[in-house]
This record gives sequence, C-alpha cells and structure tokens, in this order.
Amino acid sequence: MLRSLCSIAVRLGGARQPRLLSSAASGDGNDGKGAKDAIDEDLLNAIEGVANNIHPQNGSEKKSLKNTLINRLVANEKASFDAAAASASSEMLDDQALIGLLADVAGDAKVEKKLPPKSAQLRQEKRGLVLLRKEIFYQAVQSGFTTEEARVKSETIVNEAQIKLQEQRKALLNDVREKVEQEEVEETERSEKDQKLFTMALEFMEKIYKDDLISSAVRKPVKVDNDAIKLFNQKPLGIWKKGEKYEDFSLGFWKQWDERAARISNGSFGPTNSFEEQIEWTTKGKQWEYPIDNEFKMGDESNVSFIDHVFLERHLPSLGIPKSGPIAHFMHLVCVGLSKNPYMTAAKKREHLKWFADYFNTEKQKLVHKLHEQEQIAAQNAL
Amino acid sequence: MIGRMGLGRVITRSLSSVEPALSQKLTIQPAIERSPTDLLNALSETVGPDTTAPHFAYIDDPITIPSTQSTKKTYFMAKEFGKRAARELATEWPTLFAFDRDQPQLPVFRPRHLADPLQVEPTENNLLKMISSREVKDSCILYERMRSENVDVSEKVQLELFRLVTYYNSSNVPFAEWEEFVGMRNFGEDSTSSWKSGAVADLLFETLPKTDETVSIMIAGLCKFSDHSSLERARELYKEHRAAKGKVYREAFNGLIGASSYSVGKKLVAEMISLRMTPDIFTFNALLSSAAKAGKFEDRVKAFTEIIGEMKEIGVEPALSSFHLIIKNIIDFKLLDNEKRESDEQKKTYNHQLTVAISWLNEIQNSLTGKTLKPITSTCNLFFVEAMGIHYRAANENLAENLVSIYESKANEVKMPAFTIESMFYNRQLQLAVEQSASLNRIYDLYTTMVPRLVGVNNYLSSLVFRKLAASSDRHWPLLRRVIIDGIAAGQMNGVIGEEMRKQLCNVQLHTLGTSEREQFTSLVQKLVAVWVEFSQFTEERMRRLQRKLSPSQISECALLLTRIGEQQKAYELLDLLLDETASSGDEATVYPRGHARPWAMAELFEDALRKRDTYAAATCLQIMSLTANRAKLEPLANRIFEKCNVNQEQVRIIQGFIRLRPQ
Repeated sequence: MLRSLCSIAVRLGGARQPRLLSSAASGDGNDGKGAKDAIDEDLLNAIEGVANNIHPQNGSEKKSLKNTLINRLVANEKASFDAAAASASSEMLDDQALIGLLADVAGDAKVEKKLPPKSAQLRQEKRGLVLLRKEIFYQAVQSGFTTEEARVKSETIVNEAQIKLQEQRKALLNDVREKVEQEEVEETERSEKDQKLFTMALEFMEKIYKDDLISSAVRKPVKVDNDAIKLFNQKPLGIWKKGEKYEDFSLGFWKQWDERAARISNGSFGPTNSFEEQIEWTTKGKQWEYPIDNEFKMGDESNVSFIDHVFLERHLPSLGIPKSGPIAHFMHLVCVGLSKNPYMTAAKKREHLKWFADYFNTEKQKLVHKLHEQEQIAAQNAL
Repeated sequence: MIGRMGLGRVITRSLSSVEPALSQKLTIQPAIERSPTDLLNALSETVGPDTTAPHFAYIDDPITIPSTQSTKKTYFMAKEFGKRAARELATEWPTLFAFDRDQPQLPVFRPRHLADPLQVEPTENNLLKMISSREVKDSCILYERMRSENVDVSEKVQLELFRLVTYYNSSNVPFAEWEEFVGMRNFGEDSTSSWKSGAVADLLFETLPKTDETVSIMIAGLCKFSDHSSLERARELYKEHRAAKGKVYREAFNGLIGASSYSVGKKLVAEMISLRMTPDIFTFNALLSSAAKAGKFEDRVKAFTEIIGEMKEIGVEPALSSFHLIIKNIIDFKLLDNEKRESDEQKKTYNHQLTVAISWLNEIQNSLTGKTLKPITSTCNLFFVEAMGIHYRAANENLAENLVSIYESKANEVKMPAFTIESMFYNRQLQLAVEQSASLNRIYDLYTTMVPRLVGVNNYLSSLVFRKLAASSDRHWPLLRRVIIDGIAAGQMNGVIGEEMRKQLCNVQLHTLGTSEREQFTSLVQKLVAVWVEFSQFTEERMRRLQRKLSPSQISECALLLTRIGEQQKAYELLDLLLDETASSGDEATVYPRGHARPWAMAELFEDALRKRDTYAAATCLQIMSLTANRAKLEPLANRIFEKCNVNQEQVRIIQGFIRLRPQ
C-alpha cells in the first residue's frame, strides 16, 4: 500500500516532481541486447556452461534454458538497482529537511565571512555525484553500451561534473570573499547581501537536487479543448457483436474474491462519525441491535410466550389441585409468586407446580381438609 | 397504551361524523421490515462527518489530536495496536475474564486462538475450516502435514485449497485485504510478491487433474503474481491446454491479456470470441493495461478510445479503475518530469498531451456527475487522486472543484484511504486553490476547512501560504495566525518555517490590528519566544539532542517582537545573551557563536530605546551593533544617545571611550 502511495506521490509531484532515477528506463528493461550487457562476461560464460551440461544435445532446449537464466539474472540486477536507486532518491528527498536545516543555519551564521557549512555541502555534493554516476551508468547500459563503456562514460561525465562543481564552489568562495571586502565598506547593506548569499547557496544546492520549488507566480490554466479527440463516442474495436449471444464462462470464486478485495480497498479508514461506529459494532455483534429490545439474544426463552410465564393457574385443574379450600388458596399464591419471577423459565415454573401437585396427593388433601375443619371448629369454639 | 386509546377515540369520532355509506375501512399497514442498522444508517446519512472537527478516529483529548501526516499515522497505529494487544490478551488468558457475567454473552468479546495447524487433528473438516477463514499458510501447513501422515484429502477439498493458495500465492492474505484492522491495511507494506514456484499451489496443480478449471486458475494466478518466468509458464500452459482442445476461463484470459502487449491482447480477445465468451470489466481493464504499454501517444489514444467505444457498444459500464488506467497512462511518462522537458518541441508535445488529458477528464467527469459510483475493482479509488494530479498539472481549478464535488457527493461509495491517498488528493486541490486565488479571504476559508482535518500540515503548504501572504499587498492576520499556530503544533518552529514565522510577524503592522487581534499577537509572540528559549535551554546531556540554540539573528528578531508587545525587560534579557560570552561557549551554551543580529531589527530597537530615553537599552543596542559596525558608523549613533538620553559626564566618557576603541 505504502509503495503504491509513494508511486502516486511521485507521479503527482507535478512541477516539483522528484525524479526516480530508474523509472524512465523501467519500461524497456527486458530489452535483449541491453539485458545481456547488464550481466558480467563471466556470468554469461557460466550460463553457457550450465546450459551445455544440462542439455548437451538439444539445441532449442539449451537456448531456452539460457534465455530463462539470463532473464532471471537481468531481472535480479534490475531489481537490486531499482532498490538501490529508490533508496538513494528517497534519501535525497528526505534531505529536504537537511536543506531546511542548512538554510536555517546559513541564514543565521556569519555567511558574510564563511561559506554555509562546508562539510554538509560537500556531503550533499558527494551524494549528488554518486547518484549522477549511477544514473548515467544505467542510462548508458539501457541505450546499448556495454558495461565497460558505460562505466568509463559515467566516470568521465561524473568527473566533469565534479570539476564543474568545484569551479562553482571556488567561484562562490571568491564571490564570498569579494563580498566580504565590499561589505567592510558598505556595512549598512549587510542584510540584503545576507539574503543574496542565502538564495545563492540554496540555488546551488538545488542544482544538485534538481528539485525545483514552485514559484509563487500563478500558472496559466490549461483549458479544455473542445476540438481535441473525444474519449467517448469513438469507433469501437468491433470484436464483440451487439445482439449475439455469448457465454458467461467465469471462475465464480475469483470474481467474488476480487469484489471482496475491491470493497475492502475502497473503504477508507473506518467510521467517520459515531453512528458509523455503532453500525460497525452492530454488524460485528458488539452492540445490541436497534430497536432496543431487552430480550436481545435471550436464547430458547425468546420462543416462549409471556402467557406461559404469567397465567399459571390454568395448569392447576389438570394437576388435580382442588378448586376451593386452603390448598386452592395456597396454590393461587404460588402461581402469583411464580408469575412474577423473571429469573425462572416457564418450564421450571411448571415443574414447580407439578412438585406441589405431587406433594398435595389425595392423602395430603384429606389431611389438610381434616386439619382445616378442626381449625374452623376450634375457631368457632373460641368465640 | 394511552396513545393507542387516543387514536381509537379519534378514529371513532371521525367515523361517527361520516355517513355510514361513505365510511371507509381502515387498514393498519404492516410494519416495514428494518434491518438492525437501518436506523443508524439513516441517522449517519443525515448527520454525516463533522467538518469542523478532526477525523473521527482522532476525536480525543485535544492535546493529542495529530496535525501532520506522520503524527496521524503514529496515533492511528498506536490505537490500533492497542486494540490488537487487548484482543491478544483476552485470547491468551481467557481465565482472566471468566468472572465477566455479561448477559447476553457476546462471543465477539471472547476471542479465541486460531487452531494451530501443527496441533489440530489432521482432518478434512479442520482443513476446510482453515480454508474458509482464509488462513492460507496454516492451511498449507495442515495440508502438508496430512500428506506426510498419509491422511487422504479428497479431490474436492484439494481443489478448494488450490483456489485459495493460487489466489493468494501461497502467502497469507495481503495487508491490503485486511478487513478488520484498517491501519495495517493502509499503512502495512507487503513485500512485492512474484509467483512462488515450488510452493503448495504448484504441488496441488501437479496433483489435481488438469481440467479447464484448474488450468485456468493456475494461469490466472501466474499472471496475477507475474514475473518473467511465471508469465512464460502461464503462456505455455495456455498453449498446451488450447492445443489439447481445452477451454480456458475468462479470468485466465484477463490475466494473459493484462500481461501482454496490445496486439497480443487483441489476439487473445479474438480467441475469447472464438469460444463465445462474454467479457467483463476486468477484461476491458486488462485490455486498457495492455494498450497503456504502447510507446506512442497516438497509438495509446487510438487504443483507449477503441476500447471505451467497445465497452459502450456491448453495454459494459467503464469502472473508475478503467478511467484511472487511461489518465495514468495518457501522457508520455518521460514528459511528466519537468527536468526532462528541455526542448521546445517536448514542451509543446507535453502541453498537447496535457490538453487531451484535461479534455478527456472533462468528458469523464461529466459522465460521472449524478451517477452512483460503486467500487468495482480495488484500484477504483485511485482515479480521483490521479485525476487531481492532472488538474494540478494543468492548473485547472474549475475541473478540480468539480472533481471534489463528485467525490464528496452522496452517490459516491468509492472512498480513498483518508490519511494517505485522500490527504494527497485534498493537498493538491488546496495547493492549486492557494496558488490560483488572489483573495486572502478565500485562501483563509479553504485553509481553515481543510487543514489539518483533510490535509496534514506540511512545510510545503505552509511556505506556499507564507509566500502568498508576502506577495499580497493586503494583510490577513487571522490567516497568518492560523498558519503559525498549525506550524507550532506540527513542530515547524525550528526550521526555515520558524524563520519565516518571525519574518512574517515582524512585518505585521500592529496599528492595523484590532484590540482582540493585538491580544492574539501578544500571546502568540510570547508563546513562540518562550518555546524558542526553552528549546535553547536543553543543555543537559540527555536532552541535548533536542536542543536548538538561539542564533543572533533570531535573538534580535525575538527582542524586536517582544519590544513591540511591550515586554522590554524580556527583550533585553535576550539581547544580553549576545553580549555574554559564556552564553555561546562551553557545554551550557544556549546561543550559536556564529552569526549577527539583524541590522534592521537592531536599528528599530535602538530607535525605540531613544524614544523612551532609556540609556541602558540604547547602550546595549549600541554595543551589539558595534560587533558588526565600525567607528564611523557608531559615532553618530553615540551622539544621538547623548542628545536624546539623560546621560551624565561619566557615562558620556565611557561611551566615547568605547567608540574610540572600535576599528576604523
């Protein structure tokens, strides 16, 4: 992801686009001649040897093996170069911070008498030159020179560049010296010169970095050209014919998985407000579903009607409980109590009733009846 | 209940007032079935994201709200890793949470370890479970274990596994397809994968019978993770299978077309026709990719228009990714680099190609307006950023705004990742708008709505706004203040931007500011100076890496700003540092030994001291100026001190003696 991001960033660079050194040539990297030149002579001989060993007779097989090996090697070479060049260029880009630092120090330091920090500048130059050498070497190989020629070429060009840079530095030094002398005479203009030298130092660095800053000037917009060739309404390829029947011959899973990847990749960074967050929680099962229902995920109990929980007296006749008398009264109270209990399942409540029914068997009923009558008589006597 | 009774009463009343013949039977409509998220969706659509706050992921303690790209990434990843750590903890030690008696118990809060392929029972069922949860590497390990333990795996399960390993190249699901952890999805980086030869996919391919399906899957996989050799192999397979009168599925064709040149791609398409096979959007995207390889601009234009024409002809709607492929490749790659457009001819070609690109984008945007945009392929979202890149190149602000309105419309369901690609998209738009706009008010409005919510504060943008402020004849204190405050939060104070801040603040004409604005100016200057001074005082060994010593020019500018807000004492405490040798030498140094105070700042400070008839201040300024000026320059200044300030004979003698000792 980050890699694609970087590549977009590079392409979007627009006017200040940093150059990836190898990118221009990457399109034709598999060019046969250039490819062979990118590999060492010894390696080529070794490949030849291997191919001879494996297929001593079969010419075409030998050739194909050779080609495969060479291509693999070229691909490796290219990959390692790309990696190196990319890291070097990113280093260069990171050095924007270094430019800032340098500029800051240069602005503050005694630029009138000294150059901006020399060691840092030398380091920049050195880095620039190394990159230049790599670039020229690669370009030369790509444009058909042999490695040796490319090396020589890159060395000469880089040396020339180095001399130029030195000259520039000397010129700058001389310039600075002149300025110092001048300044002793015209000290009041110090700040202006300060600025000039600072700009100069920046420009100097920019020459190495090739990273131009956007000018604050407003660019002229490129407008839509109505006479330009149109994208839509052009002549079609004419391969598939309208109205003819074709078969949808597809690997279903591949398409589904591609769609899954598309859905995920185009989904940004998760929720953008708290409702979206709640939607995410709901779909993941972390939050109770709307509308709020306190019977959420009750399990088996969700299929039990409240009638079964509340109206329990209807079970009493079938259990053989008498319709009147103290047992009936007692059982009525039991039913009321059970109907108000939210922690017990309906089946458990019925089990309770069953237990009482078993307890109040015929003998117990008779006993209770007898005791009740005795009680009533005793109560009447007491009056 | 009361409501229902009330309704009943109303109904009876209305029925009683109507003639019986005319009475209509009331029917109660059945309730509309709503999914658990419908209500939330409706609320979310109505409310939308808060455009006055930072992104929802960062709504927290204000002090922690990140404003730059890198801090946003750090913050987001810290949050996400925290979540992952918590989950890992709950998975590893479930007993710690055994006393949580939540009712109902939600399994999502009881994460479990995935089955270990080396421990789990080697059965087909377990293998299928791993396949369905896309545990690619684990499935491979279990499969290999089952083979080594001579457990039979049915052909059906082998085919399932073959699908999975081919689609993902025998590696785990890439970060880009991580559903749960978005941070890893967008910031995680997979190593570029080319086809893993000799892995489980190859093994299974050899084991399974060579049917149309297996060969097609293999070809599609080889093309998806293509390198030179895998492509060769895919082509060989295709030729062999076709020679054996086999049929190849569309996905395999798509892979082969995408990896070929345009002419070869067209031949493959002809083969599809011979098999009476219908194309899909991926086929056309593959054709567009092959057309993009054409070296000449004219060839590409012809191919792109032909393909789009063909899509229209047979009623396949181009996806955003199709347009992305077109605009990404329309301009010659070598012309994109400013440095490489040296000759006039090249510049002319570039302008021509850019005009065509802009004109096509205009057509594309017109066709997209008002349409529901759905994600079709994983690169759909890149269209927007690519298109914005072209608008930026062409400096076409109108089309850029139109693109933003399409992106932000409710009909668009394709979203770019917010802190990476989307930020780039808005950054370009903002830079273009700032560049093209002459009105500081408009720049202020745009800046405040977009930074730092959509666009992270960056040096480039800040310096662009500073340049705009400097170039404009008007002054705009709110904009300047906002950019400086953002700069403080983004840690820009110690670089070139810090210098720019001082410069801009020195240019502010205090008398043009209102009372509250002056108060803002005062507190801003106090804050900035306090921070700079604090940074200079990190002299302890362990803190030294953070230290940024004060430079003489910085001191002079800070002193000037402090004087302007009436903090003379602090200003002269700072200036005294320039005259104190111990402040710029040794381990405890807080000032750079090199550099000079700014002459214009010192001149103003000197004038101010004279106006206030402050002998001490004027003499301090004179002494600082003497570090860079000669006797001839200093003498008139000394005379002005004698004129304006109340100096006694002794002081006059000291000052004159001091001047005499300066070089000529």
